Amino acid sequence: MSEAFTKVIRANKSWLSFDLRDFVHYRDLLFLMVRREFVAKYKQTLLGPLWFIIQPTLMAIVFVFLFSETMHVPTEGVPPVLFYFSGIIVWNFLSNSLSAISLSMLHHAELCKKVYFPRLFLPVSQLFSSLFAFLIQAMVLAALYLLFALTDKQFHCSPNSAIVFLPLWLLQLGLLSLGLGTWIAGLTSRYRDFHHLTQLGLTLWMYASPISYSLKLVSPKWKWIVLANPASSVILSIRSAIFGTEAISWNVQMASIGASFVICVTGVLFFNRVQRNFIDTV
Amino acid sequence: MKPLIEVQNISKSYRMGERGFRSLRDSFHFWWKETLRKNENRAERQLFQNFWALKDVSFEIKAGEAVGVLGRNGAGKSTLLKVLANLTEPSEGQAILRGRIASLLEVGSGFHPDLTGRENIFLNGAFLGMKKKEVAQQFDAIVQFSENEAFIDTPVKHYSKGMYTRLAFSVAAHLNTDILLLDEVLELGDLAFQKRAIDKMIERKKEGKAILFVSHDSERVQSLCERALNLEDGKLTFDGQMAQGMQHYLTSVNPSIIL
Repeated sequence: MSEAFTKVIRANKSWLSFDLRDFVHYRDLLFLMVRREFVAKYKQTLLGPLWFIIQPTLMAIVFVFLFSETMHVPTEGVPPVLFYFSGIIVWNFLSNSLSAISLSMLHHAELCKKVYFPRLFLPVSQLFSSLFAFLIQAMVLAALYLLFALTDKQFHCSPNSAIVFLPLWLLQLGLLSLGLGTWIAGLTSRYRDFHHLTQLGLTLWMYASPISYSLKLVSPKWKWIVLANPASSVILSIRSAIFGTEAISWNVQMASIGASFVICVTGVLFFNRVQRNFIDTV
Repeated sequence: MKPLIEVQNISKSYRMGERGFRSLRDSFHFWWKETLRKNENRAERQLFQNFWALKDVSFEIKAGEAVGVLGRNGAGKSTLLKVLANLTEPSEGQAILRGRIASLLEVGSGFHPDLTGRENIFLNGAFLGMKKKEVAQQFDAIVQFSENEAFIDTPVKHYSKGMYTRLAFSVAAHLNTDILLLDEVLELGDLAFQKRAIDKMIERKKEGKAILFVSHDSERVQSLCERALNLEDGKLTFDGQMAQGMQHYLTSVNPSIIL
């Protein structure tokens, strides 16, 4: 026994009370939870981790047939497969982690009724598990990129120095999905409406993001809708860094990063408030 | 030495009545009803009331003490353990817990059905706040005590209730925690296992752990715990020797019983 483990349980704690020591004590648990989330996705499947690649690949192929072959939508000189695949995997990271995080509290309600652990590990483990899936998909993108560069004589895309900001953009996406996800998770524990709203919202949001189209095609009148969306700036910036397409201004990027940060901080605070006695209402 | 568990005036209330919202629609409906009734009698407007699952409970438990919580269904035994296990906040009061806590409030809490017994021992240990290394040190003892050696690499969803119980209990009992909170966890094991489990708990008690034990099996409670806490309608009505506590409990259940 040591004083280090002394815990005070009290009524009416403040919104800001985080048990930071617990995050340290339970760090091995976080690792196991991430692993569990990741492994559980392909347990009892024949194709295993291949599933992480099949979905975006098929989506990209459909987009190529639909938008390039049928509608002849230009892709800023980037081979259509690469153009769509890059947009799809970045969007998937956001959308998959957001929907997993938003349900993390509800899905683990039974667990929360029986054991204590830092509840923030629920959304955070979902985030990391989605990040790993994204990294696998990013490797496929890199392989495709290389294949085009080596075999296609007309291929003239090249990454530029902005590529050093890749981790920053991924972090921004992480903050955004964690923030929105924790907001929705907290609200869903009380009102199931938000679950339906999330699914609808994500579908609409996808169309407002430049996944299947380039920003050049959007009429100047409506560009603000795309640019006001923090997911767009990440998709556009990543594409610009790896393919050399048109970049977006730093002002828009800074605003987008700021918005993601604020959403994340408020979401985590709200989640922390709700988790304290959510098992009473869930 | 300071007591391992110090509970000071803990109360926990739940809302009763209509106000168990499931959707926004219900919320608006309720709000609308409230607005319409604004001019009516306040007492009538009260659609819900507070239910005190625990009211002003205070006690201390020292190292090396095993305490049995006695009381009828709904007396607040499980709520008390939930509050102490930090699963839900008390409405009033505070509790100080000095040491690491292992709570076993239901069999197999924290087990993942798709993972094997081996993986679950590590996962469950981590849920109880243990490092991987600490679990690894106790791994063989845990498996041996649970008598699941042959099935340790089988997903636990294929386990029987008894195997599940034995494994879950073994993890909690072997880990190096200072405080053990147990809520009716032995009922699903067979008699031989229950006996071994109680012996194990007595051993832990002698090592200086504090144990808070809820069970409706009076024989088990009496063999482990020397002290009783009686709860009635959320209030602590007795705190003292187990024999007297049991007497108190039995008379409260059926006043005609005289031991």
